[in-house]
Formats: sequence, C-alpha cells, structure tokens
Amino acid sequence: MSAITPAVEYAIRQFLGREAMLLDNGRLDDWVNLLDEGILYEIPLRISARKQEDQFPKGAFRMHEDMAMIRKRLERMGTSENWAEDPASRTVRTVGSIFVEEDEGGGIFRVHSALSLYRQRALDRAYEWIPARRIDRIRIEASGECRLVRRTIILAETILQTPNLAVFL
Amino acid sequence: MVMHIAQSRSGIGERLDDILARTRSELDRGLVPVNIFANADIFDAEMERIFAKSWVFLGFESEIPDKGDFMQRRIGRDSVIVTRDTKNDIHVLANFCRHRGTRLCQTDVGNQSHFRCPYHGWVFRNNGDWIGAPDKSKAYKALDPKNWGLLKAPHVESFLGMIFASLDPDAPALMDYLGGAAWFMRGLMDLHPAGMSPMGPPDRYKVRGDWKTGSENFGGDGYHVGVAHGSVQTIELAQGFDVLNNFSTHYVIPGGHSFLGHDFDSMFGPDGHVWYYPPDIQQHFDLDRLDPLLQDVVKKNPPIVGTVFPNLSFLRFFGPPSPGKPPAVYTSWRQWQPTGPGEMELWSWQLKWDFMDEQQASDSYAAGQFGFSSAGIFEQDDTVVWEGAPEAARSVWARKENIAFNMQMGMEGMGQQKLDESWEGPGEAWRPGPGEPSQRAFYQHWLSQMAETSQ
Ligand code: FES
Ligand SMILES: [Fe+2]
Repeated sequence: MSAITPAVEYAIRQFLGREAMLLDNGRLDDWVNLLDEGILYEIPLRISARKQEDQFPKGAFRMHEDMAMIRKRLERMGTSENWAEDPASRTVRTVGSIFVEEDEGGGIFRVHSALSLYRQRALDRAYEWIPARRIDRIRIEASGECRLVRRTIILAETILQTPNLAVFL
Repeated sequence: MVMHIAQSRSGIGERLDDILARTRSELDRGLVPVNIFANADIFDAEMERIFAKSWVFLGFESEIPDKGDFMQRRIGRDSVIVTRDTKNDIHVLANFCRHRGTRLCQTDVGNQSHFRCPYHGWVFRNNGDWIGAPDKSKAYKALDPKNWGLLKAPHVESFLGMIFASLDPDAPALMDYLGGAAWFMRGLMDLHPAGMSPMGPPDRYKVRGDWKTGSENFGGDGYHVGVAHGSVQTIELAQGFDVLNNFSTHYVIPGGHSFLGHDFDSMFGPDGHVWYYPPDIQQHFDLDRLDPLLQDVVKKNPPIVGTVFPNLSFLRFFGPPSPGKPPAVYTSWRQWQPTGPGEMELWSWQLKWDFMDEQQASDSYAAGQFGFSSAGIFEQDDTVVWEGAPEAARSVWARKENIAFNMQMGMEGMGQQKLDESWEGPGEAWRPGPGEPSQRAFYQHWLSQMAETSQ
C-alpha cells in the first residue's frame, strides 16, 4: 500500500480515457483486451429506499458477469441477429469525477468515476441517457499497462429508461 | 431525458366503440387492427375496464415477510402500497392521501406501522385506517375516520405465495378468476411444499412496446424464438429453436390465460422431462402433490412460458450460469406494466425454490439474468422488436388502409395445428405448433372485457 502518486493517477486517467474511446468507437475486441481474465463486471439492482445502504438489496443484480459471459456477449454482437443493436448504438460517454481512492495492494487501485452515457439507437429521433457511478479495481502491471479487474456500476435510475443494457458501461 | 412518445388520439371517424367493433369483426378472421396498440382512448379504457376489474398480480408474500413491511407496486398505472399489518393481514392501499392527494410512500419498500402524510400530517395505519391529524380536536372534531381511510382494494388474495388484488367489488374469487390457469401454476410452483420466492426485487426497465404485446408473446409465441432470439442459438447458448414449434402445445385457458408446453424429451433427449431440471434439483420435487394429468404435463409437455390475464407472465428455461458451466434451470416471473399508450415498464423477478442451496440459487439467478433481464441476451431483442406495433399504430397510413396484424397462424387451412380432442385438462390443447390460438384467445378475452361496459 502506498500513497497515490501523480504517475499512478496519470496512468489510470489515461486508461479510462482510452477505454471510453474504444467503447464509443465500437472497438470491442480491443476493449476486451483491457479486462483482466478474472474480471467481475456487475450492476447491482437499485431500488428507492430512504437509506443509501438499503438501496442495494443483497445479492440482487442486473448484471454479474465474468470473462466468459462478456466474451459471449461480444460473440453475440458479432452475429447478424443482434437486433437490440442493429446497427450499434451511437454512444458518447463522458467519464469524469475520477478519484483514485486507495491502493488495495498487488498493484490494484480502487477508482471511482462518474459516467454519463449518451445513447442513440438506430434511427431514433430521441436519445437515451444512462447516468451511473462506477467503482473500478484497476491493476497497474509492472509494464505500466492497466487492466480492469472489477467494475461495479451504480446506476442512478431504479427504473431503467433505456429499454436494455446492450451497451457496456 | 428526451423520450418523445407520441400518443395518438383516435383519428377521424375512429371512436373507441368503432375500434372495438372493428376489432370484433377482424378477430373472427384471426386479425387484430393496428389501432389498439397506441391509442389514448383504448389505453384509458384498458385502465378502467381491465386493470381496475381484473385480478392483478402485485408481488410475493415473501417480499414483505414481516409485520409492518410494505412495498410500492402498481395496478395498471395506479401506485399502490402493499402492506402487512400487525395481524399479518395483507392490504392493498391507494398511494395517496385522502386529504389532498399527496403521495404517502416514496420508496419501493420499507417497514412502518403507519403512514404520515408529509403535507398536512394526516396519519393512516398500515391497514389503511385514518388514525389522526394534527390538532384533530380543533380542526376535525366531527370528521368520521371511517370515511377518510386510504382507498383499500376490496379483494386481496394469495395463491402459491403470490399476492393478487382486484379493485372490482363484484370480482369473482381469485380461484374462479384463474380457473384452469391455477392448475398450471400449481404444476409450475407447487412441486415442493415450500414453493418458490423471488431472489430480490424486480429488475425494471422501460420498453416502448404495448403491454398486450408482452402478455401475448409470453402466452404462446414460439414462432419468434428462432428468429428474434436466433443469435442465442448461433453462439451455442441454447438449442432446439429450429424444432421448437414441432413439439409445442398451446394450452388455451378461458379467461385470456395461456401456457405454451414443450415436449422436452423429444427435443432434448431422455433427461429432458420436468423442464430439464438436473437430478440435484429434481430429487426435491414431489410430483405426487399434483394430480396424475398434471404430473403427465409436467413430465412430458411442461409450459416454458405462459400468461395470466391481464399482465403476468413467466418463463422457465435453462441455460448456463456462465458459458461452459452446466446449465441451470431458471424461472423468470414478469409483469408488463402499462405506463401509457404503446409503452410499458417490464418488471422481471427471478424465482428460486425454497430448498435450493446458495450455489443452486445463484446459478439459477445468473442464468436467468443472463437471458432475461434489462441486459438479458434474449430479452434485449424483444425490447426492440416490440417497439414496432405502437409505431405502426401511430402511422396515419396504416390506419387509413385499415391495417390489421396477422394472428392467423395455424388456423383452418393455414397449418397443421389441431385441437387435441383427447385433452382432459382445463381449456383446450392445440398441437403441434406452429400456431397462434393463444394470441387469438388473448385478444378475444381482451375484447370481451373492453366491450362489456362500452354500451
Ligand atoms: S394532503 Fe395529506 S394531510 Fe393534507
Ligand atoms: Fe422473446
């Protein structure tokens, strides 16, 4: 465990910026290379409750995925029957409020960020907006490269206003 | 958020009664006029004639296990509070203060013995009783509490742990309303005395499709699976889509309910019976709880989807909790919540058997969510293809040409589907597929409810 150095913060900011660019440009095969084989990508289910801690009922989720599931999603997106995303949504994501909170050891840092995802599907006149907070575990390897080890996505919405989560957040 | 959902009013010469009359004549030919999918008058009539009259599903008793627990749910577009009072009785209350209408409950769940209105402070017990107001003796000395309690659903009943309510004082008993559907629900949920309960609150997402489309699709649309969900077979996470219809039975139950059975053994081999549940799950089942005919259905032709009128559906299928792992059977409970003409919220619960250990439950949950949830690899595609009907319904051109959608599949002269004359269970059994008898029956029942009070 160590203090968060400017070099660490720089590496993480660059990583998140690059990741956003890859996702918005549909470069999912490149994106998946940023993930650790042991990735956990999860979206806990959120409800309206008075206390923050009651908003996330234990064990309930919209997504709870390992690498095999993410790879299958990519495979599905590569078929000619991916009707949810045919063509792929045009997305622009803003990743901000980046806060490298803690060195968790083993080169892994706990990183908070806010995500504002603009999504326009197919020929929609309207757009959809998916706002979320993310809590990432990012590992900085000896080579200086980063890998996403875990991502927890906290959606602002309890009732999702976009019809599906066919885009990665 | 920009979500321009155009709501079409009746066009010229298109009064509600005209649309219903036309629906009547078209339905006899297996056609459904496009007009009923995004029309504001139709929608308003549905709220009054269907949702305020039917028995509507509200959730599970296990979601409010303790005294004082409550959950906010919907009957049609109305927000209701489902409470468990100090005597363990369950009540369904309108979620607004009788004084000036302020919302009493702003959260999805909670636990409290009473609801205090944030506007002027009227207080209601969690059984709906009016119990007080600030300065009562000076302000409301003569107010009769009996007249000012929260609106309370006149009928609330539970079946297999599910809570239903009807706002119609003259409603039949729940069992009479469900009729043959109750028999099939037993086959689904009563294989073990402790039954099933949801693993968490519903996953909720807004879909720009009509609630009827969800109900009708899950009532028996085996035909779309190979196309709309073709990708899932292509990536080898499911199988049998190409032969699905050859082994299907449409169980059509009076009252607008329907179930779509499949001959699992013929489709998936000798281990297919009882929904392909693996031995470690099946060993807990006691099929003797069911009558012999229902046992036979569960073994040979169990329903994988079904709909209880108006807007409750389920799905039971199998898939891996993660690719490469052995398949788990999942049971998804879903409700098509109407929010406006041609738009709904999809609410989806994953259920578990009470006897499941943690691993079995989490495998079932993961497999179910991977397929059917806001991110589900099956469900995603439905949320998009269902956007079409309301869009078509908003088309002036479609209405000008009197366009009707086709539900003629399997009708006389169209296909091979036959009424099984030897069927001794409730309703009718039509087999094999492909066919759409369930869809036609759903809209027939919808029409009968819509037309009943229209004169
Ligand atoms: S509106 Fe509730 S007390 Fe006045
Ligand atoms: Fe579907």
